[in-house]
Amino acid sequence: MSEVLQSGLHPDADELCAFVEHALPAGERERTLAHLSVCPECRAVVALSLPPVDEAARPSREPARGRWFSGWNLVWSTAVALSATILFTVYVYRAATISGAPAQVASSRPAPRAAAPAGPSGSRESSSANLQPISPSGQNSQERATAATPRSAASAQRQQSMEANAFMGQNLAVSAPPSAMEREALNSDNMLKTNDKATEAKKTASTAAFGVAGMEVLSETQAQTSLPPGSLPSDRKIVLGAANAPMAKAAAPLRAALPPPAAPGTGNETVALAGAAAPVIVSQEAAAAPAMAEEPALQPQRPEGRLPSRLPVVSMAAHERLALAIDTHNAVFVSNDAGKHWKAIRAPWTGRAVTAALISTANARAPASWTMQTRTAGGLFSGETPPAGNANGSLSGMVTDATGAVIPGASVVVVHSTSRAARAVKTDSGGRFVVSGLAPGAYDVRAAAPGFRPAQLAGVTVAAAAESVANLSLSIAASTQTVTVTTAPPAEPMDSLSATAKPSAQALPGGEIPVLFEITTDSGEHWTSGDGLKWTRK
Amino acid sequence: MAARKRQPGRPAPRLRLIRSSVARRRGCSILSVVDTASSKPADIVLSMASGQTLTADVNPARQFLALPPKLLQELWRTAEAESCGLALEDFGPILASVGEKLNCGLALGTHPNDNQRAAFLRTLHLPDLALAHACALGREVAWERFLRLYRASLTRAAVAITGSATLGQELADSVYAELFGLRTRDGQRASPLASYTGRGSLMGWLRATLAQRSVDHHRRTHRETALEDFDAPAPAPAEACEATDRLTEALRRTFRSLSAEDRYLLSAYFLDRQTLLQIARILGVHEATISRRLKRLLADLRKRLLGNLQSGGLSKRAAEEALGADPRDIEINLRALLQSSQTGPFSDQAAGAAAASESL
Repeated sequence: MSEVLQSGLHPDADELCAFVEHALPAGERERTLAHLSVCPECRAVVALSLPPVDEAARPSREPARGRWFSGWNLVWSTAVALSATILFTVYVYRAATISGAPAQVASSRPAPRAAAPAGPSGSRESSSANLQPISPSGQNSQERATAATPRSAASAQRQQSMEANAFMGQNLAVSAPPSAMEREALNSDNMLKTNDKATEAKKTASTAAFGVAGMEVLSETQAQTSLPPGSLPSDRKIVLGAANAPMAKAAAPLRAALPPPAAPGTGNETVALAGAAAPVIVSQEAAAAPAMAEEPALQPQRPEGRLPSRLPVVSMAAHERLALAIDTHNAVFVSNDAGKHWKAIRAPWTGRAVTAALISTANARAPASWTMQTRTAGGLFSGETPPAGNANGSLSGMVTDATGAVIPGASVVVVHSTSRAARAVKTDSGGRFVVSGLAPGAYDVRAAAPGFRPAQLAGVTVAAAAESVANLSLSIAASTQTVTVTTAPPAEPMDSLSATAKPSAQALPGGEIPVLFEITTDSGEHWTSGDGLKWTRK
Repeated sequence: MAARKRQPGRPAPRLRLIRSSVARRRGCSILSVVDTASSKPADIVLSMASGQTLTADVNPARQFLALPPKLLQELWRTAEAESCGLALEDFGPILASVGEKLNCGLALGTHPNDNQRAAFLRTLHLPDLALAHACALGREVAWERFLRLYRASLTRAAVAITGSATLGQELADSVYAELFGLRTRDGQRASPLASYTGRGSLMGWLRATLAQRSVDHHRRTHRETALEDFDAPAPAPAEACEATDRLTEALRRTFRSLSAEDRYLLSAYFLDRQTLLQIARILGVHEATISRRLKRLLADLRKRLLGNLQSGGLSKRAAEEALGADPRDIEINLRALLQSSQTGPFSDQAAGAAAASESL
């Protein structure tokens, strides 16, 4: 061992190491320094045992480098806060633009069934899946708010125009949120296809069976008709369904005379309808007006296009391509293209517009709860001429309840007025139904749903290669009344067989829009307008 | 304390002086005996003033430190001694010997109380201490860990010290062999790791050991050149001799009056040519502080030298003249003067310092 390491002569490695790392107590340090000052070897050892400069200097450099920005943890929190703000903004924006009212679908309410489904129809309806006779619940129906608009649209173009149809089909204050409307349009497409298949099936089926089934069902329903007098407005014309009984009976022997669907154009009805140049507006008075006057205004509706104010719609009325909407700020907008583009109108009234509704000029005093409109091709909408070659017409419509909510799964039976040939369909989830491949003529449309009173719409005219619209509204089965509304062409007799249907009181001049928009303000004023632009106080 | 005569057949243990002042006052010196190989406490030898030597079996762990079990447990956990293969009962004596050796960092002669003891033991580099002593005890786990942690840095440090890769590798290997205990002393393997007390880091200790071995090696291989410094100065002219002697005497007195740190500063800066940065790092102050202190020190030195010369019988003018003489004309071995200003082995200095601190 060298003398450097000899104990007693020089400090050992432990002491020198502690000295270099400044870990010595003061007394010992002094001693070591005194030795170092006289011992060159130990000074050399101390100098050599210094840690390398880069090791010693490293810790002091690193914080200096990162000093100018040390807030990386702040960046994360800032990013989180920023994204949360963006998400919140998007959420608020969407909440403001989406209508507050969810799709309203009337659920079938439990109702006492007074009678079992009548008619031995089980064996007879097996020929067609779509053939379902109405199962009357023994309660009478009160009928209101249907409108039939035969539109001359080619069946090939039907699918393209279905969306517009879905909008225009509810030209009388039928409330349905846009999602329901779109769904409905899609469902209509599907239904169209299934109905086409059904038409094929129907061709092979016996039309007599249909006629018998429909006749019997209808007869039985009508036999049970009774009318509580207090529940109907006195100024309405009510035609009891009993009037249909002889018609149905009369139709029975005539069903053999019904032209086959594959050969349209040969029957009387088709000729009569196709030849009807003047529009046949059949208006009938229906009940349930009090309910309609209040409730539709509360149903927010959404047009296809968004309102310029981007606010939810409080009330909307539409007629053909003309639409009127009131948003939550009581601003009134009018659209000429079925809701695609909106224009704000300057309000001549003093208060705030609350309700938009349609009223008929024939019945201008009461807010509209009507109805049914039947127009033939070449009438109001001369542009929609039926293309030649497709002689069969179709009938579509919507079944709603008193509040305007759609009723899915309702049974709809279409019975030819003369031949009593019947076809039964069910409404889809959007409450719509389509019966295609109908021979031109007048039809009775019946709708029934569990929990609702059945309703009937008589005398809906189906023209060749055109689509008629029949909207039915069912009221809740609370009373036992039924109202049968019959329609008949006012200008000229369409068919000898439809003569049982009484003509409407008002015969409107051809070419004039028979409906008016009406705005009700919060101060109770009523303003009407034909085009949504010029308003007159009522 | 059961004292008995030292048995002649026992191997001569390595001696370490403790409590010398107390012993001196009683006319004897107490030497604690620590077996460096096993780092276990051995005997205490009392060398009486009469020349009689008494040896006593003492267990420092029992005598010096009856460490509270809780504290021992805590220190043992902190040191991660278990992972080095040291049991609790192994670690206690190690702590005891370290505390005894360093007197818990207190001045010699004072008796540490329990709190001071605990505070001192907590300041140690306990994991390093456990590792070093476990290696000294030959625990395999500890050696594996030591190799993993220190082998590479040991070589790096050796290369840095020697300034050459081959020499550094050689040095590192020899030190490693020494640490492993290949050298035997009196038939027992002795590892220098047992002398590590944990005051500094183990890496610092290794570096100091490497530096010591390097300097030792250099001294042995360059003995001839090193001896030049100790050559007697050439005979001076007779007329200059008196003035030189006076100046030398004044210088010696001046150097002696300086503090240890100042003398170290002068030696390191002027004799060893160390840089200001090196000195600053050794002393733990800033470079600029060293620079300022040197400047002040030189001015002070001149003033004191003048005072000493004047007190030696020279007038102020003559003293200034003597200082203003060309240093090349004066044959004074300043190195020898500065180095020999305080002589004696390190242990004597320690004893003197301890006596001084006790007299305060």
